[in-house]
Amino acid sequence: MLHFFIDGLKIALQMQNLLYMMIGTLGGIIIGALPGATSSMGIILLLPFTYYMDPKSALMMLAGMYSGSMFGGSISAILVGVPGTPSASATLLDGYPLAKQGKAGKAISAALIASVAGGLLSGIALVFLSVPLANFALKFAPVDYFSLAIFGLTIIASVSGKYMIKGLIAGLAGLFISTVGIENIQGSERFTFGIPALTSGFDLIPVLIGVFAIAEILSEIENKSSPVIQHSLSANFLSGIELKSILIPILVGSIIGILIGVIPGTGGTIATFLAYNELRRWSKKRENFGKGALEGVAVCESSNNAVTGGALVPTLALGVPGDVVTAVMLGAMVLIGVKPGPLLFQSNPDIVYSFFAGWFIIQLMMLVLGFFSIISAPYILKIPKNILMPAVLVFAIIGSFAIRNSLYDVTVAITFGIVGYFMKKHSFPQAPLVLGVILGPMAEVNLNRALILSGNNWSILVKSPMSLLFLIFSALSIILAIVSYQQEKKVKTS
Amino acid sequence: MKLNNKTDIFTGLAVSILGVLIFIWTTKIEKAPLGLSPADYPRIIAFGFIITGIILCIQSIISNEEIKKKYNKINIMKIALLLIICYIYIWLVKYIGFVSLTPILLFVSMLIFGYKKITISIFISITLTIIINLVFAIFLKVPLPKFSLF
Repeated sequence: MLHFFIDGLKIALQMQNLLYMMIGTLGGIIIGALPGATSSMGIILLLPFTYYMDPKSALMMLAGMYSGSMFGGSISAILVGVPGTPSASATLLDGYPLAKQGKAGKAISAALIASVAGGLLSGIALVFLSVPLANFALKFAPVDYFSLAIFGLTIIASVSGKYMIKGLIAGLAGLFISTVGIENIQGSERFTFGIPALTSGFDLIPVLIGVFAIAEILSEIENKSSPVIQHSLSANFLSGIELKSILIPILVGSIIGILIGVIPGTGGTIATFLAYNELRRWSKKRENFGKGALEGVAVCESSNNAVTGGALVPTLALGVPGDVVTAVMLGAMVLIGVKPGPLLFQSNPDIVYSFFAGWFIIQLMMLVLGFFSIISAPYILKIPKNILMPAVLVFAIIGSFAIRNSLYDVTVAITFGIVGYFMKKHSFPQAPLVLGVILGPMAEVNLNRALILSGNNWSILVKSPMSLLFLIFSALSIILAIVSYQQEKKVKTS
Repeated sequence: MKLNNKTDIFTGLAVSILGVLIFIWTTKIEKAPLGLSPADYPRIIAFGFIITGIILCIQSIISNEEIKKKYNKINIMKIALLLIICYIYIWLVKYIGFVSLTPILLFVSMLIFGYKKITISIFISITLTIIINLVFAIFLKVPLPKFSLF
């Protein structure tokens, strides 16, 4: 195996391959930072350029785009409160408050280091654990997906803090929103009220842009204060203590990211929220989360990028994509003549191992390229708010439009912006609503599938060991959130 | 009764009513022979709405939390104006086109946000529109709405 890897490294280090990887990574960072321009869009855009390229070079360039876009999404989330990609929405919870405190550079530094570390660790998993991890992923049955979604929904309890009931209402609203349109199994229309546009339901990105970005723009009309800006360059980088403080979050995020990434049909958004919740739950400084904790940014970004390597595990080893982006990658691989699956490792080790070696180089390239985004962060925040916010508004409009080229999605974004604005005003946490929209379909479809497969036998929920484990975790998660809230309350009153 | 308590009570009531409405709306959905009926899952959510709505109402009635004044008339007018402009933009952009209409949206939003240098804001509005058009329409191949009035 080692000699295959060394041969792969030699291929990856060829000048033209380095150039392709740099183009892919830089393009990915830019695409990721643009709201509405997704990783899959970036890969599709690159695809025509890869037709006449060597498959090894093409794959490395596509991997650069994939990794870069995952980090890029955090830049706009931190600087202007608009997640560039859906998986950066958890990064926003701490990243944007940090930017408001004048620590945008530090937040991007933490995001960059965590992204690179997450990418590297998932690369190690990709190289050494592809086959066992892919087999683990294949054992996931619909009932396990359902219980995983329920476990994900318990995050609502901890991200809601003292507004637990309001968080639950927001989460339920998210679940309800996800039911609008045509139901997945029977095909019945629900809550469309005869409006044709509603039959396709609400896409996640316009909801996300509305609830976070448009709501923030509306709130900024009332907010007269400007963000604090750090003028000294060194203030934008992490100190030794800060760097040390993000090591555990990086590890937690990476492990969760890899494990979630390998499970087909999950993806970065679920992984980031799960990792964020777990770190917050066990952190001694949990009260800082949501107010600008570097640890919060680091855990999200490491899990986000660890998902990329994790999702590539079943893609390469089994030909089963781990998420939407790897599904597009899979299509791209077939188009450029690479057939993923167990035989790929034996028949084309040069392709596989040059890809692996390239993966590590890409992460290091991202570190260098991301450095420029840290330097430029204060300049973006120097733009007066009364120019920056209208610009963000137009980006939010374009971002919602670009997903399906539909003005209906723009209307959805603006309308959810109003919802998000009133939620902020009346202390309804916004993250649970987004969680509901993400996890709702996953919970419903898989519960339905599990019940159909078991002949309406509800005991299937506890018969599957994996499902039972997730349900126990869910119960513990809720209990712990309530206990820790009560403890915090006691400390405050005493 | 304090402002926030009052709005929370109304919100709680509205949430509970929404739960009841979901139950009513799902009565016409046909049952499935196996698995969940398309009405079952929304009904679980509806049940959650009713319960959490009632709890929010009760919490708000018994709460003694100090409430700050939340709304300023001028700001609300500005927000309403911006939203109206956004909806008009969405309605008009398919006829007027992205390139012609976006500078106007940017210019007016800058005015709403209190930017007073007219010449600079016109320049920024036009330049930014051109840049966004280049990135999204030319490079990313997003088919942005074009002028189609005639």
